[in-house]
Amino acid sequence: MVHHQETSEAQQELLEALWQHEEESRPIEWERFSGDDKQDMVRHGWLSEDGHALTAEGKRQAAKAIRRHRLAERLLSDVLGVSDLAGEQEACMLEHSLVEGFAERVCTFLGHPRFCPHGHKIPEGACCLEKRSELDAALAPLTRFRPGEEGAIAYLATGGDEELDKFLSMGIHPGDRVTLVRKSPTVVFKCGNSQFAVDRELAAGVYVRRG
Amino acid sequence: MPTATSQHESPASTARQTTAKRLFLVGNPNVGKSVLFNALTSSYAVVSNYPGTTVEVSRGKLSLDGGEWEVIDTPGMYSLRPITEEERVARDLLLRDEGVVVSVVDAKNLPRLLPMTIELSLLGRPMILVCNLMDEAETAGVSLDVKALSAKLGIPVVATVATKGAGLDELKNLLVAQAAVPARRIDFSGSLRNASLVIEEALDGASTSRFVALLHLEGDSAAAQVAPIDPATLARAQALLGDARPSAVCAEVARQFREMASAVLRSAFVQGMGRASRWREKLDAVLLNPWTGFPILALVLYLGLYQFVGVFGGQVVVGWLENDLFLSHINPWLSALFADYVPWATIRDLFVGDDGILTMGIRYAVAIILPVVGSFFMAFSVLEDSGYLPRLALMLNRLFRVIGLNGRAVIPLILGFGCDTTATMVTRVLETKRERIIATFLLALAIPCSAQIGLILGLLGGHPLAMALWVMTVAAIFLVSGTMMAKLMPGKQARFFMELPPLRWPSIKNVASKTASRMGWYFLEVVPLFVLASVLVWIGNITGLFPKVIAATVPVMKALGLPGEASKAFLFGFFRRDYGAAGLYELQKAGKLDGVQLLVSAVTLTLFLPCIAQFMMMKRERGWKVTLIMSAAILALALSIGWALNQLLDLSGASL
Repeated sequence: MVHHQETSEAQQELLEALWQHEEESRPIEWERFSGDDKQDMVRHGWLSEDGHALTAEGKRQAAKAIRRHRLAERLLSDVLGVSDLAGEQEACMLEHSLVEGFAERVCTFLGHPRFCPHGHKIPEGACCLEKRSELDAALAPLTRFRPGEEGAIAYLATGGDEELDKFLSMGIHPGDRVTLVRKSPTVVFKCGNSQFAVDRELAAGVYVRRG
Repeated sequence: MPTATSQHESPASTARQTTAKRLFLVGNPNVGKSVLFNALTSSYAVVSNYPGTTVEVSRGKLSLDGGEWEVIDTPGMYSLRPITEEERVARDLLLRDEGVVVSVVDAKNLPRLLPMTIELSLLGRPMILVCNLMDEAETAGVSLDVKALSAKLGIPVVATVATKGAGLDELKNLLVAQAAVPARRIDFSGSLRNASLVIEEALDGASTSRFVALLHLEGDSAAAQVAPIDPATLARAQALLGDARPSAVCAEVARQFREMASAVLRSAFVQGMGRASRWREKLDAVLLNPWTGFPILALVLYLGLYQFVGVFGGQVVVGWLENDLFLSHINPWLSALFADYVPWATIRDLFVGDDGILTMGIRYAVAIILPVVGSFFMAFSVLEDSGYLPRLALMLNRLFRVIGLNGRAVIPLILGFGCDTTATMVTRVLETKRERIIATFLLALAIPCSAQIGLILGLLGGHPLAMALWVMTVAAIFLVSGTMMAKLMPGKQARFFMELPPLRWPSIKNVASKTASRMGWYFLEVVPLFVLASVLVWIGNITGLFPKVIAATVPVMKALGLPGEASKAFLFGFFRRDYGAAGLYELQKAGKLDGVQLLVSAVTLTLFLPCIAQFMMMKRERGWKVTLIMSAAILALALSIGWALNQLLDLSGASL
């Protein structure tokens, strides 16, 4: 066991909070974190000496932690059907058990999602960078289908809420069978006896199970 | 009068007494509500093969045995959770007014569309389900058991082909028999059920309480207006849903409606093998493939816009009406008539003078404008009914995203080439305020209406280079100002999402009645303004005000390198943009403008302030503040671009 799994959950949370503060400019509640935790992280070389900024290594570790958290959220909301806000606690618990290799497996299983259910970006992992070669993964966004290919919608992982709503209110739901008709100039797909045209960005959020 | 009624009958008959006279046609866009509306009533709603063309609620009368019905055609919506403004209008109307709800669905897509009918049933109103487009459903291999469907839902169900009138008698018979009843009450499951019950109890079980409860849980702003509840109750209900966010509640609600719908359809709807139409699929592929699609688009524009509207409408018909009818027969006859019977010169001038109501106002409206607008509306109707416009939207989506819009904006923008006023109203089909403002601005600035195009084609006809420069300048201004607007306007880019209706053969009857109705609307809107313009000019002339205003604006014209007389054309231009172009036309005929001046004035006038009708429509749709800011910007842009163009041409020493 060489990797740094001995960090405490509080330290992980500090990492995540700092990352969100630096990358997504979200406010940070310093008082939630103890001085000891900070000292520990400085010693790991993850935090700058003043304890207020991430080092390069710290940033790398933080991105991993964020990635685990958001993958856990996706897993809960899309696969286990736990509504996202209520799932926050569970997500935290699940997150800490997603060890390195396991997170990759979950990410691949989910089809390398790009956003968490709240619409925040999920940092890419090694598996996401390799994914371009595995075009025939069981689960892929509609944009990676070839014209004529079909499958059943596994879940809608669009960036914002309104976008997701659009699919649902047009009557396009997880479980529905879709066939990709064309990708350019705009994505066109068939669902039931109708055809729909959508932006690439929207289509990239429709995860479809092949076959 | 019988006093005793059996118990199960009384609630229904109470409902009948209060609601028997009103009927709402509700459903998705493009399922045939407007066709049904026209078939049922003697009034006319514009029908097209393009989602979202009903932007206003149409009302009509239907006389049946046993009384008159008011039929209301609502804008199409995909659910009772409105995304666009038109959907909101329709939803609020349904919530407010009692009446029979006729849910119209596209039969071939029932699994996708029935959930909305179930959602509608929560309103507790008497309902009828109309499964329309049965012919297309059959081709698609769908077989539908109407009886089973009716039994499961607890409401009458009719299968129709509204365009051919099939099934309409059955629908009317159901109305006469007052067969519409509230649908079987539905129950949610799981925590949604519990949460909804908490709110329903607080609402004292009114007939729409379950629906209102959903609105509250989904965080819809209308909920508080319809039936406010105590925040503590709402919080209690939300806690039962694990404090899920509204969007998550919406998803759960949609899922449950969907489950109920598939339970209902299990035995009633069977999807078999369709008879795919090979030529239709091939044609669709050719239209959508960029390599073939864009040349086809160019051909459509050339034949439809240039040859049919520009040459046939703008030259052949205009020439006939203007020269052979008005100038050689009607005007001399009117002048002679007035000379004989009206002794006062001032009054004669008002009616038959150079700018008279009859000799100029009506002549311009009928002889110059109407043929152009009429042929445009006809060409547009053919495109609309064929289903080509949504395909166009798809192809132009990328271009439109550059200017902060998306493919959806194709309908208002293309319609603007016909009449910018109508198009400004149709910006309602756009989803966000940001898009509506950008589209309204571009319509006012850089989209010339067909009357204007017709006149400018006439104006620049003998100067092909000037015409090419006009097209390029206006197109460049359209793109540059659109791109700037996209950068300046706050808010994010709305995503493109559109259903592509099947390609259909346009019906001559529908094209004809649609063109007639749009021309009628246009005529009613336009003629009074032409008359008003004539009257104002007359007043201006006799009071001496008009010559003064013209004199005051002469320096502006001079700065643009134009003769002083052009200021009259620009001033008129505000009453109608095309009217201004018509003024220039007269100047050109009199040989007072050279090529450069023609180009500068054509560009300036194209960009110049919208006509008064469009101005009033902008005010109605966007409000005073936005309209005034836009108008000031447009005035400044038009004059400064005209000035710059003149300087540039002057420097280059070009003669056009």
